[in-house]
Amino acid sequence: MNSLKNYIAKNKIHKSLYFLGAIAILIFLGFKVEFDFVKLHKGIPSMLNLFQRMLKPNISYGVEAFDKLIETIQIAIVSSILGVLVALPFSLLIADNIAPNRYISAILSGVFSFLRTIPSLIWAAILVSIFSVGKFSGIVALTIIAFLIALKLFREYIEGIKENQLNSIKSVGANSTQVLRYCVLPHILELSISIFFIVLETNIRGATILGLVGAGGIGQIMWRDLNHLRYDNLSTLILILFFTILIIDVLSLFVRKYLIKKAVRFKSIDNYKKFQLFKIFYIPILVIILFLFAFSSLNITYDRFILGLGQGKDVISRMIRIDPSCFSKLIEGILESFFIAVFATIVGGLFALVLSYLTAYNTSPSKGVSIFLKGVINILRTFPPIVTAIIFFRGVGPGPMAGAMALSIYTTGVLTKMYSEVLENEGKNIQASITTTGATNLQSYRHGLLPHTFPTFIRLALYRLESNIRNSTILGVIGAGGIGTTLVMNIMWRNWEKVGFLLLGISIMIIIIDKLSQMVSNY
Amino acid sequence: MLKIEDLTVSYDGKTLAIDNINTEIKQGEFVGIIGSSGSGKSTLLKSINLLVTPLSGKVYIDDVDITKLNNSQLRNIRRQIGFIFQDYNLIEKSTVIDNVLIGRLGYKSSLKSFFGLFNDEDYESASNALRQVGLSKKMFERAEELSGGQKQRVAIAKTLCQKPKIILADEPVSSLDIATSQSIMDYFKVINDEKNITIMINLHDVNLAKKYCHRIIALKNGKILYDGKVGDLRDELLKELYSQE
Ligand SMILES: Nc1ncnc2c1ncn2[C@@H]1O[C@H](COP(=O)(O)OP(=O)(O)OP(=O)(O)O)[C@@H](O)[C@H]1O
Ligand SMILES: [Mg+2]
Repeated sequence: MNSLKNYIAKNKIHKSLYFLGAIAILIFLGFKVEFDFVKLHKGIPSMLNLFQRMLKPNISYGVEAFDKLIETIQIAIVSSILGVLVALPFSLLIADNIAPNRYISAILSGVFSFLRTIPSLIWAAILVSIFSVGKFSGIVALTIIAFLIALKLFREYIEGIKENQLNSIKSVGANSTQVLRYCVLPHILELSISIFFIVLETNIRGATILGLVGAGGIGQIMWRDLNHLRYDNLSTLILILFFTILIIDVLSLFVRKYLIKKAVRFKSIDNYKKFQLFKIFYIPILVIILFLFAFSSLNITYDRFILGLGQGKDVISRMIRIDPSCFSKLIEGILESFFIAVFATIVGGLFALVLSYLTAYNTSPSKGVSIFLKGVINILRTFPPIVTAIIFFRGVGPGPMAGAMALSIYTTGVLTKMYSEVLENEGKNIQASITTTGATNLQSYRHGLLPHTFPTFIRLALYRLESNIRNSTILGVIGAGGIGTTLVMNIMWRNWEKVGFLLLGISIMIIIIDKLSQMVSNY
Repeated sequence: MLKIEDLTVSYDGKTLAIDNINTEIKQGEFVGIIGSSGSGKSTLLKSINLLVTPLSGKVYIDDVDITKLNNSQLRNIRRQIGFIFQDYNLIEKSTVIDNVLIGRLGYKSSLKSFFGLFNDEDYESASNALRQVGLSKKMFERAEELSGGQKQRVAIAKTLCQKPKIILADEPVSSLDIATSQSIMDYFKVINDEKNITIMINLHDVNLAKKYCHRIIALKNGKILYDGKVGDLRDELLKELYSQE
């Protein structure tokens, strides 16, 4: 009995300590990111004013922006196609359970996890100074991102194939090519489509901001309007983007859910055989058409391309000779990025915890609230944080505070969406078993669902932290704090040795944080 | 046709999953392997077609020691050995007929099978096999749309397509209800009776084993506790077999 009392007392103390600790950290971080309630309060009227203007969009400007919008969509689609197509063969080389050579697979994985730490906007900035301004650089930058995301997804899928599944093919006497063809490839077409849409959702957001560094798309005119203080035009663009991203997300959801279920039905073996034969032709043709389509939209002349390659080689060889003279700037910038990311994760996490309770349809006090909030969080997570930061500039001026707030909002949106889905999936059984004891809805949430899903919540939050760190390194591109400012300056001045050093620093930080958060979530 | 000599298997190099097993099995026998969980039943079957590599010992199939074969020789032996898993391991998104055709892979060149080209004979034997397990109607459906019992019948059809001399089945009915289990076991019996294919089957249900098998091998801690006719199996022995000590 005594030990039970002890347990309860300890439990209480622990909880209050955690809570106080979190508050203390938050205050410290708030200080670090220059969070200022007075400034925020003063800025509210002008932000409200911006929102009011947003409600009166400048339609004629919309027509003008249409070209750029199409370019943005094109960049996103082309880069997603290329990324997915190239990722597939590489995934066969690096998936643990089928990799033909362990050393090649280890080396490739290492290189790719280094490349993954570099955000798309930084890729774009570097490519712009190699291949000049234009959408070509944007497409290449996002292709790299698409490739890395698709590779990870393909790899996870392949590594998820059970050993016995592979064994069942081996046991009929099949060789390794046959195992690959019959165990791994049958699902790959559908999987590729689904992965394409997941990648597209990321890339359409990425494509909207490429213009900030001159890599094509709608971001270019957005940046111009921002610098010319044309907030009416800006709000029009933001509205256009909102609907575009929304449409692509909905389309993606729809395709992933329904189209994939459909399949051809056969009546006789003869037809079936003909279809198999037909497949041999139509799949390669499809792939070729996709490649042709993708390449045709790369608007670059051969000469410029060759010139770019030469410059690229030059840039890389200079980056490798890292110049650590900007060490203090690096530390200062990285710390600020880090603080912004942690701040956003904690603030977003706290909001998400409350909001997801109100959002998940099985815990929400009413259906109306749930539907309303679902709408709101989808709006919150539509915009890349860097765009939201631009809106905050209007109220609180440039600096880390705008970045931190923008990232917090984005985190709130994404985390609420993910966690409320967890609540909905896990909810049914647990809640029933507790409500039968006569508990109220809130009680059953507090004592059943919440403790049961909290570890998942922490895992999601840590995952957000990783992504927030990547995001916070680019906020500086527009002056919203962190390492991005220094980095982009040095890219513009072509101080490649310094760029190399900064990138290395960022990578190391991201890899350390990834490892730490992996340790925490396993623990 | 199958001879196992001093077979020892270890996954971690320390504990023995199979501990020095010797036995011989003749063409056409229907052998049930029983034993508690972790006694090494699956490991024994998997080492017969070298899905796991033994630490030491020999496995002879028709007087050929298969532990000494190179890769392509091993593939030739494997196609004579059907293997059926508890969890079916069908390619869920592929059609039933494609799953059955996988049984023909051992007879195909890499190139042809890479393009999914099977000849009339292959299709013939696949559809025959499906007829034998009563699933002709489901030929063009996706494997994921089938029930558990139907999936296991597809797996049997796939194995028949291999034209095997011996079928190894690792708890093929333990995910199924009693009626379905009986009907699957009936298929094994028919195959065994009509085609004289040797069958080695892991079963955790001793009653099923008693009903269908001619011969029982009982394993405990990787060793053979009993190997003989099903009629001579004593209750005391079963008690010892499943006791924890
Ligand atoms: N892939 C593996 N890696 C490591 N150890 C394994 C592996 N498979 C089996 N073992 C170990 O080998 C021993 C024998 O396992 P095996 O799977 O052959 O038993 P079993 O009789 O089939 O049990 P069950 O009835 O539960 O299927 C067990 O101690 C098990 O822990
Ligand atoms: Mg087993």
